[in-house]
Amino acid sequence: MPESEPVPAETADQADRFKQRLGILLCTIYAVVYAGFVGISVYNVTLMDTLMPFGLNLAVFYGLGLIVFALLLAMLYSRACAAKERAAARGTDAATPEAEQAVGSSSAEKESDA
Amino acid sequence: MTAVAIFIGFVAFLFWLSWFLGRKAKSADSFFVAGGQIHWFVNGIALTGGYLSAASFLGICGMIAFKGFDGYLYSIGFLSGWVVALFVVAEPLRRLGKYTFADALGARFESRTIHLAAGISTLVICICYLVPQMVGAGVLIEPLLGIAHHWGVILVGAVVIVVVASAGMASTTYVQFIKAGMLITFSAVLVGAVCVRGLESTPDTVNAKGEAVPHYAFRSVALEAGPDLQQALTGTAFQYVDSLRLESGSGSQGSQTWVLLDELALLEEDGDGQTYHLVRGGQRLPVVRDPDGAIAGLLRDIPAPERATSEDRQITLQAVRVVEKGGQPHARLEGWWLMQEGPDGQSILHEAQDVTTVDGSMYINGLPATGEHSLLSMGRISQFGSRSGHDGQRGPMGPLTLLSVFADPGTEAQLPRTANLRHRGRDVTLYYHQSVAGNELMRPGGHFDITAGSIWHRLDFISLMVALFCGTAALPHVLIRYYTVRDSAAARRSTIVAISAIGLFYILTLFLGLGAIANGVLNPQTDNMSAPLLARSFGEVLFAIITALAFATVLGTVSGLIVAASGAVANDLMDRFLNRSMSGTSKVLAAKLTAVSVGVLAVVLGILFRGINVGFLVGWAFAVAASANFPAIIMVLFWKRTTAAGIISSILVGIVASLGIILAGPDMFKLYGLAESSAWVPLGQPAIVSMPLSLLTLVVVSLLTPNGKSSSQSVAVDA
Repeated sequence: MPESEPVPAETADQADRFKQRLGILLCTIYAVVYAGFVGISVYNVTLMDTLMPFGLNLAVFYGLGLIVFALLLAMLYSRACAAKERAAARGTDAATPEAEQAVGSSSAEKESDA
Repeated sequence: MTAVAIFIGFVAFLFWLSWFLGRKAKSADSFFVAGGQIHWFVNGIALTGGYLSAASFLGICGMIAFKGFDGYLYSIGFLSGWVVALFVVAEPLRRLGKYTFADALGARFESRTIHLAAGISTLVICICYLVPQMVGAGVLIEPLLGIAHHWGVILVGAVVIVVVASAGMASTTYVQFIKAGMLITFSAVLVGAVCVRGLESTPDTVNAKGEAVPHYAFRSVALEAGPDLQQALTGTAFQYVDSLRLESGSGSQGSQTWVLLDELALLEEDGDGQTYHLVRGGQRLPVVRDPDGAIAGLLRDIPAPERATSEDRQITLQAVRVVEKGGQPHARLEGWWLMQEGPDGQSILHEAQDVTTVDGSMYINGLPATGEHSLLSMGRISQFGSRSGHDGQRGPMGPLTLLSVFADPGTEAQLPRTANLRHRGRDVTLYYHQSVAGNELMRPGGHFDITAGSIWHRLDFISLMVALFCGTAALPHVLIRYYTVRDSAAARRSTIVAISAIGLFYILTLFLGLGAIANGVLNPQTDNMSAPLLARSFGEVLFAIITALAFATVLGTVSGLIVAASGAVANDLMDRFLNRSMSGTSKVLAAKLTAVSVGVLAVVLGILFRGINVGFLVGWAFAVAASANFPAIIMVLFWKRTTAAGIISSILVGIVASLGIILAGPDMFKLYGLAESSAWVPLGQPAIVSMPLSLLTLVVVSLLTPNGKSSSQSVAVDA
């Protein structure tokens, strides 16, 4: 039993690391798309007149798209985090084999990080 | 009266609610974070309520109505900031902290000075953010109650101070929850009404008293070009008086030629034979009372044969010059016209409105300003492009069709603009229409002049977008709400609820701003009023509800900010920095005293910043937050080498640099009454300089100081 003590901490930690990496990845993706909007505005603003579906111009299409995209990414993030947290919680409950695996993969991640 | 009754009823309801819920909040914990017991959905909508400030509603709609797409940049930026807040900052920060941003930093560093720096930054950002809320409050109250701007500001200040000092966070959470839900609902109703009414080029509108009046089309007169304007005007109702060339200080508009013309307007005699009305710009104005029969005398005294040429005879009654022509009394009025080159070498004169101060009294369009006589509302679509297939008739249209009509290059919108000149020793403010093509209206560049040659305008634009992206996560009153729910998952769900609600609302702002142009309701003196005035064109009830909700929005945001500021002073400055171990009760007392002082300061600044777009002002608050707090937050979470000294110097450098650039920049110079070109710093938006500077300071100072007191594991360990 004493050996199983650190297991819950490790799985929770693993979920946290997953959430943090996913968050940074999604934020970077969004930042690139956002920078694209700013870039077009500054370097070639007439490109924003381009006709898009529904008779919208690119500026409105891109602008509305940035808002909808943020929401989609947020939902994706939330689902992924919830799934990971559930897995971590299951790992805590079910103790041994799965949790062992989780510990293994988390320490592997740590090594690759460093 | 209905409007005022609905408005007062709503505000009274909020008072009752905060009192009712506030009875439960007695301990220090419940004052600051409502005991961590708020449901995630309620918290999410309350986050929305705290975030959707007067700036979102009044400022963005107003800037879209006056400048087009650039107002919408704020919507996009304000929402995008949540991406950083949710994905990067929310959860790790929640694992670190208790009450405030400073506590979160304090969880990693045992430094009292860090509490001082974080407390100061919270206070400064709160005040920067409070100013536009107060300006917005004054703007709302002015048309509703007919009182001066500064009384509106004082009223909001008083209400909020009472609400916060008597209750605290528990009440504001629920107040914001209800208010945010209703604000989004009624904004959607208003957008629905705009779409159902549709677009036409001569929309009926409402006057300053809220009465429906037919559309007034500002006149244009085409003249054969020639050196002699006086001769060209022969045979028209106008006489040439003077003309002035106005060199534009900045922007791409170049110079303007303004022409002052004399016009005879018929005076209609009232039934009592003593009052004379003038129909001008769709307003029927009682302009002259004639107790001594002076006008009748003027008409009678002249022998009939001479009457046709008797314009040189005049009397002045109540500052209106009355002349006689064709046996009828006329008012001789001067008005300013903007001269532009037309096709075929013609000169076209466009009618403008003016506010002129003569010997201390104010004249509007040549007549003394009274309650009944005010500036006409402006803005309209003068021409519809053919691409969208819209026939120019009013009638229901889909929201996307509405956007496509505006974006059509063949569509032409008329937007109010302002010019100032001095004439005969008098200060004249002119309001005129500028025609903007649909494609230019609906792309960036209306406010931030990115197409002009100057690199500074482009930098301003980029700088704003950076500030909005990074600023949200660094705002103190947003961060504090991560602690009002039970756990990380709840905080995340709250944030997603908030993003959905805020995203929906920001999509609505685009329609509200464009709707305000199309319905010709714009007050040329301030863009902040556009959304409530749009509501007014759909009746007094909708106007009252929207105004009450916007007022509540101000109230909610201001409460949230003042709670954050009080928390900073009570927890960071007094408890931690001065190391006075305070009991829960005296902590709450200190917080309440801070609430009162910060509230009073915000009221004073709110009066001084009158007339500036509130969305623009909030953009500055975001810039200060992004410069002062953002590098500190990010580096504490992701760089193990960060030291307390690095954080402290970064926060202080961020505050000083961002505020310094704003205060020395062109926009503030305009407010000081100086030329924009004489500004010490050519940059109006500071973040692109001040944020990297703050980050660099953090890195350099951290590397120069020992890493002793930090515990690098604290981020990963769940508290």
